[in-house]
Amino acid sequence: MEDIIKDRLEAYEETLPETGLADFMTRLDESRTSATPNPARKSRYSIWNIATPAVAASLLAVFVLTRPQGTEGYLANQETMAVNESVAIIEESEPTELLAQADIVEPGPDGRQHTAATAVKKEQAAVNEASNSDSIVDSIAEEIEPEVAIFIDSDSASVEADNSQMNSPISTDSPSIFDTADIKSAGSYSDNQIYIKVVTGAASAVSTASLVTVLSSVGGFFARDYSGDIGSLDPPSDDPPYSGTPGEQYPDFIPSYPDIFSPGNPWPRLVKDYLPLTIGASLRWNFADRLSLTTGMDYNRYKSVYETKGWSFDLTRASVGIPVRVDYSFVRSRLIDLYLGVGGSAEYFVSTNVGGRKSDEDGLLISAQAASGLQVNISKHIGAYVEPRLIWVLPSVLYDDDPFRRDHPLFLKLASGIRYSF
Amino acid sequence: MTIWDEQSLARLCSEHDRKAEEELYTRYAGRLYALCLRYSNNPDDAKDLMQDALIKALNSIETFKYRGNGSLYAWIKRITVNMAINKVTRQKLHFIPFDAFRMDRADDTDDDSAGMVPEEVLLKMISELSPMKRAVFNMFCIDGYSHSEIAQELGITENGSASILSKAKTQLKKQIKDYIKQSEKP
Repeated sequence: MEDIIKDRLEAYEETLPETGLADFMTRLDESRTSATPNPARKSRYSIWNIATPAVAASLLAVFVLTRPQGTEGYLANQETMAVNESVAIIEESEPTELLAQADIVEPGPDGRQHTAATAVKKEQAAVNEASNSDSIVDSIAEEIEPEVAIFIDSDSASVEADNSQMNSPISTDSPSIFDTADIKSAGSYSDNQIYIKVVTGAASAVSTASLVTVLSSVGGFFARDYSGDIGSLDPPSDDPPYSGTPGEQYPDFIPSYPDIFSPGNPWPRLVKDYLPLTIGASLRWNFADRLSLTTGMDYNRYKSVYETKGWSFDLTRASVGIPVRVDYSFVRSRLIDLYLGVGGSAEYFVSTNVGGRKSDEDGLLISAQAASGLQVNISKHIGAYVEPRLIWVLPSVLYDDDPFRRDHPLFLKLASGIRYSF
Repeated sequence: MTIWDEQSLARLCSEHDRKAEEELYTRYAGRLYALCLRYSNNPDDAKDLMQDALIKALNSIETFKYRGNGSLYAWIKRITVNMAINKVTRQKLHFIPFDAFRMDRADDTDDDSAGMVPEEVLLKMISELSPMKRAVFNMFCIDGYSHSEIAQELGITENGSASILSKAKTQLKKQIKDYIKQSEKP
């Protein structure tokens, strides 16, 4: 059938109205005289194409900024890479050696000009010093060899040798060295590096603002402080306050989970809340052009450190959950997929551990979630994803006596896994 | 009346020769309009698409390389098809039916009944398909795209493309049968 249709329609011509040619030529002239060749074309960018990457970037920035090494290490490396030409520095009391070639670089942060090797080593020393590696700094400092330095006055293009032990004077006749234009241009930061610095600085500022906003929205649970009345569970007065560490013997006067969080008992104080982690297998159905339905199975791990009556304990819970979410892909290519999604999740707790003591407490946790994600496509159907998720735990009668996350129901979680898309 | 070969026509159009541009329109607009009618379900949209494609071709005619007789039309046709596909993919939402990925066993027996249907009726039947079915049918059956290329252009899977094509063919066959039954009635 299709072959017949193809033969019939491929060469078929529709009759056009007589005014068609005149209309067409008018449009052709307009397209050549107007600023935009196709004024009817709508902008490809909608508010969603701008807003969704901004939101995703903000969420991802939260995790970037919580890393031990923020942008400092990266910027230090950029500083090092920026030095690509060198002039030797004369150390006043050091024997000197004339460099075979003296090219000019922009002065470093200390206003002096260094050899590439010296500058790299000094920068490396600075980085290592920042990470408190004194022995490494010392060893690197010993390796820095004294070299001839030429102090260049870029305005006058004059040369001054501080060390009388120079083997031979430096010629001032070479225009390639002492030409002011060369001094200003050679060895300076490239446009790309300046661009990277500006973008990094702007991203850091935006990320910081986003982090503050997000953290304030989760109620500042990192700094949550509980204080409650001392109830009937006071330890015997002649017993010293228990100061054990997590994993040690569970004190008898401390109730088990979830009673430890019961209103009648002194409420434990949250000391530290680890970022909840999720690993899962996901299934995605692309039911429309950029919309998809995502579900799967997750294994979630929650860990917090609490303190009560001088005893600090870990509360570790693990759950298995089924998330359901609608995702919108705002960037989709063969390799990556960037998306935002909203939905929910139902989790069932499979293990609870309080201070080394296992609890039989199970329970159901129902939550709403918003996620932004990056999926790297390994093949046509299979991809690996990383998703920061914003979770809001919904109160449920099913776990009314389970205090888990009741006081800070809004939190961030990091999920990763493998996804099959169809 | 001057009759230009394709190479001369393209050269003159690149020099913005008015008569050559009119000749180009006169020569190819009818076929291109029929092609655009296949991809859209609206004659006005098809006309706009055809004109946009010809304007784009004329504004970039200097990039055309003559490769033999018929290459100019083939080049303009490719531009038109690409624009038609872009229009389909630019739609905010076009839903793929949930059962789109179930491979229907289409009736593959030889069916010559399509030869008894006038072209304009065939065009109308194709335009009545859903946007996705219409695009896949046109791209695969008439314009020579493979399922892999269709999947890449439309953002679907190859299996999805094959399944949508199967459903489009089933629907067209039914429409053709109904038309023939209607036309056979006294």
